[in-house]
Amino acid sequence: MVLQAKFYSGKIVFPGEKLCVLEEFMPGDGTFEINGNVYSKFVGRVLYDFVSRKVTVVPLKKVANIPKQGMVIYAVISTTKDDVAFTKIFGAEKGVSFSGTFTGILHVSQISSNYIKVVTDAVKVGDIVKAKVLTSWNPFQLTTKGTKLGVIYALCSKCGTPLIKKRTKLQCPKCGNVESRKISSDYMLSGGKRS
Amino acid sequence: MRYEKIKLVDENGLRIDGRKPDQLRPVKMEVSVLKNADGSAYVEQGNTRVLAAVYGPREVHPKHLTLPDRAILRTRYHMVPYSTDERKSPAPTRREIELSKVIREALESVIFVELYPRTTIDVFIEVIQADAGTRTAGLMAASLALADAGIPMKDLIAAVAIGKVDGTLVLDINQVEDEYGEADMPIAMMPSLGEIVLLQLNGVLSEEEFYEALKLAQKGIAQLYEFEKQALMKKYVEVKVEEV
Repeated sequence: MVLQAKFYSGKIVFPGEKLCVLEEFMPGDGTFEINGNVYSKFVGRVLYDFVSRKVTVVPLKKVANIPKQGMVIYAVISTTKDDVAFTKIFGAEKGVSFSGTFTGILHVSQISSNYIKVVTDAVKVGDIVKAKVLTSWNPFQLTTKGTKLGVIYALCSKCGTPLIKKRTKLQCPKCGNVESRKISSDYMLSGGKRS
Repeated sequence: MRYEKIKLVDENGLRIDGRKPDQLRPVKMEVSVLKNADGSAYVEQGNTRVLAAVYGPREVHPKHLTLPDRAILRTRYHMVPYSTDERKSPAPTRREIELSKVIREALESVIFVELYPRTTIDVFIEVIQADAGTRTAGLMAASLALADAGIPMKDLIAAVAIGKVDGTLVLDINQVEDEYGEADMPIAMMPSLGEIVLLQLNGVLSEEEFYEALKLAQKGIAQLYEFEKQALMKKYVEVKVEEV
């Protein structure tokens, strides 16, 4: 068919390249429309869908990620107050990374489903936490409610050695100091096993 | 001592570097040249060499600059101290600050800035060697770097400077022509959409000359646009080879 030959998928297109007119295909992801013409937004491959009559462009290189609502992220606690902890989000699940870091805010009420009086009872500066993003704009509100979420790596506040998980508490293998945290079930160093 | 004017166009109509009036300088473009940047590009036009890097969309610092409905765009055009024949102070000059502004405004019209609210897109343009036409080369490098960073754009930007030397209009002027010529007009366009995003004029042109210059520029821009597409294409073809 003449039409099929004109619109073949898989071709590499550039930003601003005209893909079709509005009557032929509706603009989908990675495209935009000006005066009835559909153009590409990215350097990518075109996909003409003859069934739903839609053009999409799949970018060859994706833009830097931004934390999204519902995302499970990894963050370092940078400062703490009585009722709130400020964190730096540096990555997310499945190896997702960002361009630099984003600020996340963890409020006491969102740390655990149990009552926590002050933030430092559950998280301390320098801890790495696994948390879920609640809002879709910066600064991102976080929560660590849930068994999988919480501190996944922490250092002893007396001697600086990485703490080891012993049941519901964290213990320092060097000085024996016991600390309380909102521990994730994914805590990286568990007791008993020595590696 | 009497000032003697350099002859810029000879009897055969050839320019000081042997080019025809409507001929571009040799162009070299490369994409993804820096590891740490989200997107980067290197553009060479004759002796003009420019490097551009793009970061973002990322978190804005200082935070008060954040805009709730769109990403902010920050552009830095800078010439390195060894880019000119006489050492240039590394501090941003009045000229560089102005060029950063006009380049930012040109790029702003191209990027879909409203897709990334409360973030920033940082563009750094570094002139490594200057031989006129650095803003146009910088703009092209920046647009290639943005495309390389995967940032959604309306179009790529291609740009050239048109000059008037010894009464004739010439395409893509060099340093000598810029210094001793009568006019210098940098033009930047979105080649597929046919929109002008930057136009400046230094010197005097008559109305007819202006329209003729615009036509000449479009001719040069069409050629440069092809080079840009080739540069982007080359990168992805290479990537494909590596995967196999």
